[in-house]
Amino acid sequence: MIIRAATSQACKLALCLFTSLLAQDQSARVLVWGGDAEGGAPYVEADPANPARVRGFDVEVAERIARGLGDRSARFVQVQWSDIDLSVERGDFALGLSGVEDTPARRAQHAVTIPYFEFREVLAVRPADAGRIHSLADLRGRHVGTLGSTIAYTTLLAARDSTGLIPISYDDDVHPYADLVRGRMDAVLLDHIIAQRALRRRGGNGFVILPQPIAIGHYVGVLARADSALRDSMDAVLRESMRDGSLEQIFRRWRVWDETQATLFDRVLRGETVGTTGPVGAAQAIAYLPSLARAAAVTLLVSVLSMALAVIVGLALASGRVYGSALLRWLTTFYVEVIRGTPLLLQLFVIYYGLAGFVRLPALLAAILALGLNYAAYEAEIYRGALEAVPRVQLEAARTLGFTELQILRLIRGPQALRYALAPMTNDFVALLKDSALVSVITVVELTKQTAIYATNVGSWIVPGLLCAAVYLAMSLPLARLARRLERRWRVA
Amino acid sequence: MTTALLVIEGLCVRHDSRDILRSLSFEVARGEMVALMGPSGVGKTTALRTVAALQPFDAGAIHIDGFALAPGPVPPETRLVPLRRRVGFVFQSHALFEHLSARDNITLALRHVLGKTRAEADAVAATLLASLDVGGRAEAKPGQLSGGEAQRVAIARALAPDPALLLMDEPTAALDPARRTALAATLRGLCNQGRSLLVATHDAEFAGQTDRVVTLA
Repeated sequence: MIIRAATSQACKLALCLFTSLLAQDQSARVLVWGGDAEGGAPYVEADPANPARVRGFDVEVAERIARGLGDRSARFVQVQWSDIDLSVERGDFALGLSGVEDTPARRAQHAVTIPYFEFREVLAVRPADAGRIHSLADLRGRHVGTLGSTIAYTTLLAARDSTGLIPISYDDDVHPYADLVRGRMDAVLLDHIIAQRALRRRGGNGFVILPQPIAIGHYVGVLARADSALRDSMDAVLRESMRDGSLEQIFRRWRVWDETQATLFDRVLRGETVGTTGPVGAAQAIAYLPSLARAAAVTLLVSVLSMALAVIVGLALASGRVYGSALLRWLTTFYVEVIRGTPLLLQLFVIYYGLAGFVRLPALLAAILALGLNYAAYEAEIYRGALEAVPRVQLEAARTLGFTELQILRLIRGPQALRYALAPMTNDFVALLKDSALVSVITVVELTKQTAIYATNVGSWIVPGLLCAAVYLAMSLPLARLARRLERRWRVA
Repeated sequence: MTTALLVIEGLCVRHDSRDILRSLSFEVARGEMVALMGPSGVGKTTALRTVAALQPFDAGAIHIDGFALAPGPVPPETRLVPLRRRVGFVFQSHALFEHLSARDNITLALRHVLGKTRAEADAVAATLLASLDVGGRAEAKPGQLSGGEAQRVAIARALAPDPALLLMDEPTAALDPARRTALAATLRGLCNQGRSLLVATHDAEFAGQTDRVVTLA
């Protein structure tokens, strides 16, 4: 009995040793870390000398941590910036590091290192506005752009109700400044490193950075919730690199060192708690509900107006194809084929950014135009098919009765074609409802985008995803029901 | 001597370098019922469609109650208004407007082409449907009508604007013998009111009940 128990214990011990050895063997030499090279310098960027490698201060911080953990090397994994938390929790890499912000939600959901860099949220405005705009309070009714899913965006959302400014969320940190210079945005709120980099790229022209910071934040490393022991080891390495000056050297090399970093290091080394506090969990989830409702309204508005435009333009195109001269038929066919044959995403970019040099369309209008003109091509084909499905002999009968062509279209051909078109039109509207999610690439925050922001902030897709799906269904199901009822009523017995 | 309502002289219709009608000439007097006979594909329907200006012809002339059609493309509808007032057409497939009830099939042209009020148009439709023995089917959609009913609704629709000449394409094709006899009686009644009828048919028995037979070969 004793021998059997001892053997079992020995086996367990051997297994334990083996797995830990295996883990050590895997992790002993390499620290796998994730970041977004699209974020660019000075954080992480592809090395111009060897694009297969990355460089930047976050790259060097990762390498410093790897060395501190015991002669490890660091291996970079590319990941979308907004997906760093989800990926680290999935186990795609051990450490997420790429200008990752210290937020209460992140601390609640994951293991987070001590802060290693302090950034200031700064406002950028056009030079002409520099005398008038000093804080968010001066931006009532103005458009303020920023990167979605960031502290800056949360700050703008919080300021929306108190100051009346209009927050605009972008997927990248280049277009906000381009739109600021073009006059689409009145201000941009982002980390001072990003603002300074954007200004350098423009040769110091186009906008100015206001000196007074709007908020203070910190960059941290993020690890899976279960990796708190590894996180503690990394914290020790970070403290050591603050003490021995290696972190300062990295920041100086990348020209992001300033006195606030020295103060941050002092506070961290004294053991002071540096971080942000705020609502987390249920309170935060509830705080997002009004935004979600607003985003659902945007989705519905964009979809309904786009569909109305698609129907009107589609009818005109179909009429051109059915009734028009040879030239008009060729032109309308050309339009339909070009629009159907190119991605909607490309059309959105062309209308919003491509035309910006000639006409600066507001994002919502550009979204409605792009979706409407795209779907018009599909509608045109449906209407053409439906018009041609009305038996020719009925049209001849109408002519013998003395109807004009317009009367035939209005009284005989159109009403019957509408019945044929109803089912595919309903189908298209439901598809459009979902395709409207694409307009977030031109800063329109609709349901899917808001859900993504929500999910990033609460660190889970389950509740936001279910909520989002429920809202889409609540919009599309009644429509399908209505269409079925109309079809039944119109059905020729 | 009764004046001819319809005069066809030397009518030629070619299609894809094939003669469909070659030098066809005949007349239809007022109040006369004429059968246009011949085997399938001989051009009976083409002759009717040409008279109704639904397709062009290449040579010859067509005169309908003072209105002349010339060879060449079909004129625009605006120039055909006098013709449309004079000629009604009953298609072999009836060609009823499928989204409208039997009554609305009849009243649509009365209201939108002739400018009658809804009440006036409804009264005309009710009288016509009753006279053709389908008074009880006014609310039915074409899909709910039998072949015979649909044909009578189509006749009522063509008669509603009160045309002087009624063209009919194979009216007996889908009818049983009893219905054929009834139809012949109905059409005779129309002629007695002074209307002229030109009926394309390959039904010799039905043709025997008309005033005159024109044979195409």
